[in-house]
Amino acid sequence: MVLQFFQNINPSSVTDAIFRWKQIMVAHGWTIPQSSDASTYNTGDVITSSNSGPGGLANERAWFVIKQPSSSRSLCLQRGFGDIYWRIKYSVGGFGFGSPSAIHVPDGNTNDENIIFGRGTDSVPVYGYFSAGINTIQIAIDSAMPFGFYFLTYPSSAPYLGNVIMLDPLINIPVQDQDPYIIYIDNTTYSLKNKGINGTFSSHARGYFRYGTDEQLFTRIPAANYYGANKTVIPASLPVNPINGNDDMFPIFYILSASAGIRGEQYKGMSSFLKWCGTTRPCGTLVQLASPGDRVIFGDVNLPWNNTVVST
Amino acid sequence: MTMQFQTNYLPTTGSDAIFQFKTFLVSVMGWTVIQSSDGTTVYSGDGLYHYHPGPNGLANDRAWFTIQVAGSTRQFSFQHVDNVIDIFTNKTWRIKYSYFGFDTPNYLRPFVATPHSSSGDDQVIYGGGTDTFPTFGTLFKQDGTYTQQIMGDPATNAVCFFCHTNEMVIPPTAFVFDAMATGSYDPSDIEPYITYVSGNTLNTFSVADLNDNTAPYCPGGWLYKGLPGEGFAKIPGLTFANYDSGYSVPYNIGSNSYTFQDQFFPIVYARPTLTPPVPPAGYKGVSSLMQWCGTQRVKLGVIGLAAPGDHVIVNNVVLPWNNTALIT
Repeated sequence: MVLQFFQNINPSSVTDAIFRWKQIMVAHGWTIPQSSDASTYNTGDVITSSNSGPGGLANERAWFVIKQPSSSRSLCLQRGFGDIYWRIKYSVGGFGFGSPSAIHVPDGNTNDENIIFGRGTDSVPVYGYFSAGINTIQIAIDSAMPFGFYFLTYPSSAPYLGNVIMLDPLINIPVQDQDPYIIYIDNTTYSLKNKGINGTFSSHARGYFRYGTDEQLFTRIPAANYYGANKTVIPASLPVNPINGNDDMFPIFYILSASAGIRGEQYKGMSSFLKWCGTTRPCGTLVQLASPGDRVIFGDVNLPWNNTVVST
Repeated sequence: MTMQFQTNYLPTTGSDAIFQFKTFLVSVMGWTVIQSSDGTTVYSGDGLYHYHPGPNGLANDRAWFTIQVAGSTRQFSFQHVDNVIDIFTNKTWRIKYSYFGFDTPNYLRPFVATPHSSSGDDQVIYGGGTDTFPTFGTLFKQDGTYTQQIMGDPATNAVCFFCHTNEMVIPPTAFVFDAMATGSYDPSDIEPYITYVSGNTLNTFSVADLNDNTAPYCPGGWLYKGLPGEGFAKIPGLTFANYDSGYSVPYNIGSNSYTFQDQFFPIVYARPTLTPPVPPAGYKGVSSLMQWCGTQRVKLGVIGLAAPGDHVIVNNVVLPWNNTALIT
């Protein structure tokens, strides 16, 4: 993992935030196999600005597919009728199918197309709405295998994140798992909080169970919290460690719930990005794992960081 | 970690089991018996040569010994009592723990009392009452009905014994002195240990014991020993849960969906801030001895994690093992 950081960027809109994220991702190895500004569809990247009009992303039903380096794993993002309205799909096999057009996004491979934000069909899309009021965006990209990333939007001085798009590579997994990732998209004030990432029926963390097998299922895969003394202990119910004065941090295990329709509960893997915070802290607080400021707190978790002060 | 084992011992009585454990602690772990009493005579050092009634025996009413953990001042005291119902069956015991040790000489005290710690950090971890008026807890099942397994790591001083019958029955007796795993606690914590003693319940090595701070046998230990706010408290081993559907670990997870192997998870000890606050609260560390079972198959059984038979399932947890077949 070789993380590159792009921090404290001030976008003018949600569309501008996503455009800037796309540009940074492309500069670090991700590719745009197909795209459309809602008037012109083509292979490659026709989106050259976050404005409206030709080459712009700020057009209703403009879209692009963005593909991970060294794999076919892809996201397909389409803008709706306003800045905050988006529809996002995820496919391990990529979006090389269907009949894409200027306003019609491509299909994923059979049984491998998952709407992870918004709903509806490609012909009649229904868009989810991202949280507006973005002050800064914070991006980390792994420029080496396993090519994870996180993209956070942060309202000014807010006690919560605005939006999160994250591809979290997993560790401590069986080698046979062909999709060892969690895809996390959250537009709520619970982003990266216990309530946004934990919870059998409400977690915004999703992923594949046994991708590539007969049992393949894309479903919610909550991050388990730590429970004891008849309450949730981790995150957020521990004091600062008085022995060293530091906050304690804890690994996050993603566990499928039995209600997902699979054979009992199943372990997926351990997050390589996230750790639960033992103690509640304001968004943007820098903490130390191995070196000063090498982690940053947002919600109830902390993520890899490079000691840059977070603009509020 | 280089675990040492004494496996498949068949105690005739509870005193026999405790005597075997004492012998293991001295001969294998390098611990030292500091004081002892056969219920009549107090000895400096180990004056208990056998586990029967009579002079120098452990199976006497109020017989006791204190034993010091190698390389430290930490001590345990074990005291036996005969009760009206089970005379000479040696099922009931009182166990104390002291970080600084039971340094107050006992010679001038009634022979029935175990020593105190002058530091005042005595902790009764099994049984109750006072040293002068002790109460005792039933630690063992009926004499001659169980097998004892003992293990310990001389490098960390982590030790454990448990007693069991067969693979379908929850082992009734547990004594664990659990060292926190290296790297899981701050090195400046002078007391990286947890004690867990449970006897004659259906909850030994279970979530009900290990995870609930209101359970009588919840693990206990010092938080912040030597610092302001230190305290000896019940410190649960945490499960992994979803807030809207209960816990997943232990025993609700299926075997690994690719390898079909059972999966095991670390046991993290932490005591949350309670409502109303009952200090201390905080993170302790990760168990070096126990892991949660992801799947519950049997109450007792040998299983391989990294090598064949390198662990043994004991109710909801696994412990290190040496691939010995269990006598049940």
